Amino acid sequence: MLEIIPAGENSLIIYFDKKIDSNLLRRISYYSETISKELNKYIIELIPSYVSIFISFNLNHISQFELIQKLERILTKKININDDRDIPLFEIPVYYGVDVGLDLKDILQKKKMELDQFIAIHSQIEYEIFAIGFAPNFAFLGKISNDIRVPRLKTPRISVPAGSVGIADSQTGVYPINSPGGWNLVGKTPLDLSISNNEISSYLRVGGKVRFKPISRDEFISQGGLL
Amino acid sequence: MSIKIIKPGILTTIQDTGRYGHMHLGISVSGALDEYSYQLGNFILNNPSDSASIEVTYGDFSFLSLDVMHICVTGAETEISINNQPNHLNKVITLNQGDIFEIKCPKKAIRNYVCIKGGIDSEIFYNSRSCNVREAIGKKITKDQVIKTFRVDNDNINSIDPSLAPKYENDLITLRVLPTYQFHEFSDNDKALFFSQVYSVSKDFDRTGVRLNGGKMTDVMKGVISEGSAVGSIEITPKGLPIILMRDAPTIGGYPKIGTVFSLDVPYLAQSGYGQRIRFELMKYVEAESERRSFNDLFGIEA
Repeated sequence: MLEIIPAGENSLIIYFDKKIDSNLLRRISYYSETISKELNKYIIELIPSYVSIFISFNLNHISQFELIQKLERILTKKININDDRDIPLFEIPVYYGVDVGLDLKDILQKKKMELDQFIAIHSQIEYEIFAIGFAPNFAFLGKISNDIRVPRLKTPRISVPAGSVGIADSQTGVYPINSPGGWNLVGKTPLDLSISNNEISSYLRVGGKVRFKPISRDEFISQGGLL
Repeated sequence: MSIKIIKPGILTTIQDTGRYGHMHLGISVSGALDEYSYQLGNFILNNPSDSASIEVTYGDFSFLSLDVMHICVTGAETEISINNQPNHLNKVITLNQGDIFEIKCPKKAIRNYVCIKGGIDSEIFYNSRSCNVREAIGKKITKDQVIKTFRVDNDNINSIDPSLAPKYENDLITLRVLPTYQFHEFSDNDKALFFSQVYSVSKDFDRTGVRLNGGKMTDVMKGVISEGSAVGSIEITPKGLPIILMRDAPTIGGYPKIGTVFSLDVPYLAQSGYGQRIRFELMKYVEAESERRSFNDLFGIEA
């Protein structure tokens, strides 16, 4: 399946599939880079997300019709995605503790699990970035182990502190700024993941990889974390 | 050159043409919600088309001019005054040092743009001076805040044909919609309802989105896998009612969308307050493209 559908007079969306999948993510990441590079002078925004790529373009220089033709030429070329491509791995230190992970207690009770087990399961996987959105630098990471999956909260919190690590269904992520949020909170990172921190935007791209590194309460505080 | 805020009003922010090229990081485009009035003010002052201006919501705004400067106020129909002497929208006004400028609560539409010759000199963040409260980029303007503007050494201004100024309606407006995203997946009944009924703006409207009240669609799909959202795109919630995404909206979302409001009709939605009645009609892409291009030409907009 490959469909290009308008999203406005100067935007469109490419649908690659209807199912979320890691292989598809690699294709989307590949095409995002290729399109950005080859059609750079026409493109204003390009948002890869799960199964699609949204594009807005400069109407002064190209029409919707002409851009679709150019995209079709790129998208129908046979590609060979090399798995050894340099995919950046971003390591995020996390303090898993009930004083910052406000929903940890409930989750451990529900799953009849010790905290150590939970930490091992949540931090062992190299997660992939499936989408970025909701808030600036909020990366949707997947997929988390079946053993620790819980649905999102019935009533979202009005304010979740920046740095909080959350889980919901098959996804996990870090809130980069204080914002409302409905994910279950399990820990907190001392890192500034907001867009004020210029160093991280190169890691944060759809298709990129993220791993959580458990740290102690003392390490969290010494690295600047706020309880 | 600078001004000092006396009455900040309920939601006054610095806005320019928007923050482009960062949506892949989840950063919204932001920028002046009523692009038309914002561009008009800067055009009259012969400012570059991306000059930062002050967006005032629901008036009740005043400032003290600390220098001699030229301003132009556009947007909502309202009373403006200099030292309590009434003045006019859509024309160049010269302020002297010590003058007090004021905007009253608008009678028609809700947002005004205070454009200043030279533009506002505030902090640039990711290529733009636009404030986005939701994203913690910039802050609302507050009492006693001093706002700096760029010094300019020319007095060039543009006079306009008065018919160029947008006309806002208090009763019913029609927004033109392009069939986008999941348009073809909505049932015929739901589409017929959407394009025939008159909706009204609910109490939930702000720079991120406008929720509408009206008859509910009955056959709405559950949701879609989160995808990039265009400004003006019309999400239909599981309850069957529309939310139209504005410039501060999150960059991705998972509600199905029945269409996208044409970019040059978004300003009229941005000027709509609670209870404003709205209907929708389908628009052709070729018309939208050519109308948008003429607008870009007229105001010298790069994209």
